[in-house]
Amino acid sequence: MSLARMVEGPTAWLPAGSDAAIIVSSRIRLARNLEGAAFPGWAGEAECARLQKQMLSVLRASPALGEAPLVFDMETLTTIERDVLRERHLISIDLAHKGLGSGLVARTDESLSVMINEEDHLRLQAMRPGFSLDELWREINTLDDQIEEKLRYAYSHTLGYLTACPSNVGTGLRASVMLHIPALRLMDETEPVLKSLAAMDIAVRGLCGEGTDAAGNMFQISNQTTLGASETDLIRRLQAIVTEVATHEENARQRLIEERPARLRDVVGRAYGIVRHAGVLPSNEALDHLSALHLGNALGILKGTDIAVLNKLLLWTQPGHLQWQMGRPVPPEERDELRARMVAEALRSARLV
Amino acid sequence: MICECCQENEATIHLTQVIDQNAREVHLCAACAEKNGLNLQSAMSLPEMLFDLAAGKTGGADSPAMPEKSCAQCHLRTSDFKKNGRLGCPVCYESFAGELRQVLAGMQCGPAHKGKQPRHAPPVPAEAAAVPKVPPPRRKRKAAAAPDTTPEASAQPSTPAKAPAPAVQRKALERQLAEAIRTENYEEAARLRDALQQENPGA
Repeated sequence: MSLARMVEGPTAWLPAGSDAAIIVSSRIRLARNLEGAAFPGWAGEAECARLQKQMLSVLRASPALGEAPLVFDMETLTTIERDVLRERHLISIDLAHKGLGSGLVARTDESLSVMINEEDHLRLQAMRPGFSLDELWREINTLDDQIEEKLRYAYSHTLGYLTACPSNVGTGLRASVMLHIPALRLMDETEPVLKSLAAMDIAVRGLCGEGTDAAGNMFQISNQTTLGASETDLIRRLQAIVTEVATHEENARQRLIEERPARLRDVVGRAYGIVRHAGVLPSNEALDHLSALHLGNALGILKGTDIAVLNKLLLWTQPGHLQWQMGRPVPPEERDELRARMVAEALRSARLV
Repeated sequence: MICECCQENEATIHLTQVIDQNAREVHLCAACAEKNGLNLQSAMSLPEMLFDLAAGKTGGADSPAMPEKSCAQCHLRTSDFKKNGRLGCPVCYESFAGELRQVLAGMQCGPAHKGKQPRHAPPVPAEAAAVPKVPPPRRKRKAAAAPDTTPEASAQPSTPAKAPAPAVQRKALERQLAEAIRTENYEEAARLRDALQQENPGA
């Protein structure tokens, strides 16, 4: 299967159905390194390339990754291809900037993948729409077992799996859940909720992971620490906190309808007006309006469209996917015009009620 | 704003210096900052702050430099780690074990691994891996209830208040320090660093 075939299909993280979920998707990653080898950032490109070969042969033979996994070498990818992989949450911003000696192996449905020589030798990741951390842990743990049969991991009895950054040592596990919480923003409650998360050892990031802002009211929340608790304990704690935040959002949606109906109507109506008539639409602005329309649809004031359409736009209006669709590099100003046209067209039959 | 040092260039670097609880703003241009020995890349990195704590260094340009160590396996130096915040190889965890203890105490919720073991590792007693051991951070109760006055917020689970043990207090301070550095609240970071020093004068 080629990258082209993959891009035509749904991503592993965005729900394809029509469910206006507060909990958008779940993800688990495990950081692993090879015994006796320098970490990628210190090893140099030649050594990374040597290790990459060794790891690739093991990964290709791992049943968990499917019979014919997708294999990418960062050295040969174009900028647009890198952007596409990043927007599909298969690679990080860091890996997108790398070349020789680093790559990606992914199951064709993208739900299970391994970044090679990012910050660590191996970054296993599993993702799915919805709230599915238990299933993800089972899947990624199986892949981890299969790799471990062939490769010796760097491991210490006291510190667990050894990683390039001490912030990942121990389990090497980061479980994260993406939440769409627009009503908390409209009730002016986002800040206090996020602040209390930081105090509970929970990290909050934007839509695209580390170093990105929370465009479109999408937040990824994940465990901050990796050492001193077991994988299942870390996951259980995150599950409890995610449930709590989702309940807050649900309550905020209810109160929004009861206490601030004019505000709700205003935000959804403005977003509707802009996406229907704007001539230029920058990508972060598009995300914010799509978020408002999402909420409008969930609360019954926007009809004639579907969550599946909105989610598709969420992905295809991003710079990489937009350029992929055009089949050429497109300068930012032109992208903003194309994006405006694409969104207006897709939401032609949408109407406020 | 003009640089306080050369009085010529535009000041692009704005620092808050805290000496004996007194905060003072310093505004410098990049050239003067460098002349004054400010390494802006690493000046505020979390690993460096924690490494300095481990060495009992009080911060500021006058304090003695840490003795430079290097890893026997990959030759990564203390200064490399302080600059990048990344270790060179698995053996670095042994080479810098003393310094890392402090770094890990600031970042992690426990000192020892409680999770999965690879099959090639010799087995350890089963109970050791099964006991839950995440002590709730000291600020949990207050932070979860205070910022929100909605009925939902007060329904949040809260842990009973207890006087924090010194170790717990220190860990909370370390976490606040990490958060302050992350949010670039350097005045607060300096204050927390001093508080930590007082908590733990022997470090």
